[in-house]
Amino acid sequence: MLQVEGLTKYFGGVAAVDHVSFTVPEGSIYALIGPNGAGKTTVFNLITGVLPPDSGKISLKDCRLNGLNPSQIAAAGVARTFQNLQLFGSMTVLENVVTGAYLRGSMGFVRSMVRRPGISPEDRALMQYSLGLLSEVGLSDKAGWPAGRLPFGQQRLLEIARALASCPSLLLLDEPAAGLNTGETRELTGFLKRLKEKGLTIILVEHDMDTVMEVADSILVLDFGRVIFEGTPVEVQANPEVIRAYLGEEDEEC
Amino acid sequence: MKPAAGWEKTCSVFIFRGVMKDGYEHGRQERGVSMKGKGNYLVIALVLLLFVLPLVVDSNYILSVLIIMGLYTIVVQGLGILMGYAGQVSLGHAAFFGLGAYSVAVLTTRLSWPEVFALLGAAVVPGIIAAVIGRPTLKLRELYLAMGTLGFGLLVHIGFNEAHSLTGGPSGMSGIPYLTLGHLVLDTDFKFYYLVWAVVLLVMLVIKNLTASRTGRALRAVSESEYAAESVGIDTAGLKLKAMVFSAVLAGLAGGLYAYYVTFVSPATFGFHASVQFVLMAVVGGPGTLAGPAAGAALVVALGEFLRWLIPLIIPGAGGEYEIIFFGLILAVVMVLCPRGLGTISSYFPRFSGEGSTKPAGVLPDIKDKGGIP
Ligand SMILES: Nc1ncnc2c1ncn2[C@@H]1O[C@H](COP(=O)(O)OP(=O)(O)O)[C@@H](O)[C@H]1O
Ligand SMILES: [Mg+2]
Repeated sequence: MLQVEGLTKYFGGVAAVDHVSFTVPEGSIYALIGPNGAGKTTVFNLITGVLPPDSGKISLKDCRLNGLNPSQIAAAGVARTFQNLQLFGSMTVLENVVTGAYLRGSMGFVRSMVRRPGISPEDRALMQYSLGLLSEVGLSDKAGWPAGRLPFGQQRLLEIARALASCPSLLLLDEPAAGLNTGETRELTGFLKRLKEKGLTIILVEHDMDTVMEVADSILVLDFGRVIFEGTPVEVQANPEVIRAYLGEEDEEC
Repeated sequence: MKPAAGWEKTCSVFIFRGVMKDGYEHGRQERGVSMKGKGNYLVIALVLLLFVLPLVVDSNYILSVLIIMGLYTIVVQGLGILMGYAGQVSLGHAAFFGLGAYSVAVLTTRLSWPEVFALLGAAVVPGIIAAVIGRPTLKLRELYLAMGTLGFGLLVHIGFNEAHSLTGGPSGMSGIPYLTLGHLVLDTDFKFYYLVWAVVLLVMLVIKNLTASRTGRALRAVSESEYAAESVGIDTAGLKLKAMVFSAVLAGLAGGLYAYYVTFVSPATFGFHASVQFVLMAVVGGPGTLAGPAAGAALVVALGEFLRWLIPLIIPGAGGEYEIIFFGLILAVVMVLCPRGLGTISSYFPRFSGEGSTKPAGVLPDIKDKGGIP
């Protein structure tokens, strides 16, 4: 599904991502873990075109993503959430999701202006669809709220719903469980599994090890921008280097 | 998911909110339902008032003030899309307004184009120029964008002054014919008033459509988070450019109408001061609202005229600087009382905004109770 080869990004002489290569099989949940500052978010920013890589190749199926801008990469089927939430805070919850479905609409600038007043049939269909998504993440009763007023955990869920609204083939989740309580985290875990069953490919950056171990098919461990291990959850848990670099710190971080 | 009964109603409520609400954080969503009826009556009443005014007001002076308000409203409507929706500021809109006016002046007096075509030119020329300068300019952000557009405005203003052979230089161009539509010659303030306000209403209708649409949402998304907007597939640079071109077209159209109204153009009208006035009107009115631009233009124009009349009465011998002081003071008070602009004022009166508006946003009512969400 996604192939990353020799991905490298320097920030002022320091390699935030250092020759990282991995392949995400279609329909799997692929976890990216590592201590804070390991370069996980930077990998996401490189895949989605927010940052240009210094070197390396990124391809989705047979489509080369290098050099495309973020909106083109979104159009190629990659959706994401943000570690530091980037909701459209003053829009309603529903509007956020409908905006997430931007690529599924077709009304351009002029056609938006010159049309019969009222809701366009296209918008009507997208809203219907978006409400369906909201009910899947359990937010349909908040559809009319301004997104910025949602509790933090629900804002995270809304980001996921917004990302899903474009019907992506690859979903990048940056610490979706951060700030969620235990119950919410459990719901999220179930939701991720359901998404996988539907055939969605997911790359998951997450500090909550229970979640990662439960949903991930394979795990890539980063430290100081370099890959230190790749394997299944069971292999990762048993690897001493990983434990030293990352799992050992878990208590500090939480 | 199966759409439940009452779905259409819910939808229209949301869209209505999207339009009325203005795209900014406030917890007054809930007025959507109850505003709908009252809001419509208010709109009908205002349109009737607009229609009746010239019939009862027997003063060319007042008509001319109302015409200028209408023209500025058109400019500020476009600026509002750029500022309130796309979140980009422009301190150079007087240049587009002026380019529209000069297009009409040049095309009619020098090239003898038919008036209606010249008016089209007044919309197209600034639009093209905006498309050309927009790409590099819109790469700038915030203060730098303000400086960039300011520089553009100054350059165009210098152009009006210096391109003597084309623009007549500082003394301007006169002899612009009246606008003729078919057999109708718009040679009186009375006729022109109706034309201008008809255009204003048309523009508002178009903008209402725009903002309550996929593109309107995308514009707001750009102003809230460009990262997120890009991540859902919105070409933010292209969209900002389109918003800029659109606002330039409206400013140019208003400028063209202005030229037909006063039948004379000179650079002084289109300088930095005018650009600042436009931004002022947009901010006072509340960028991102439908009624805001009209309210802002009306207040700023009316206040200017009123103070010009009032100040000499209370302070004999006072110069223009007193007007400016009072002007600034009054606008400051307006902004303190109504920080999101006049366009949001209805929400300050619970009577108009429905009982919900007095509730804090945190306890927004469950919409289900209002017969809403499936
Ligand atoms: N835009 C940026 N400019 C400069 N340095 C950055 C930028 N983004 C990330 N970094 C640096 O790159 C390193 C990796 O950061 P990040 O990818 O956010 O780590 P993680 O998501 O794994 O916690 C950190 O040292 C961080 O300070
Ligand atoms: Mg991170």
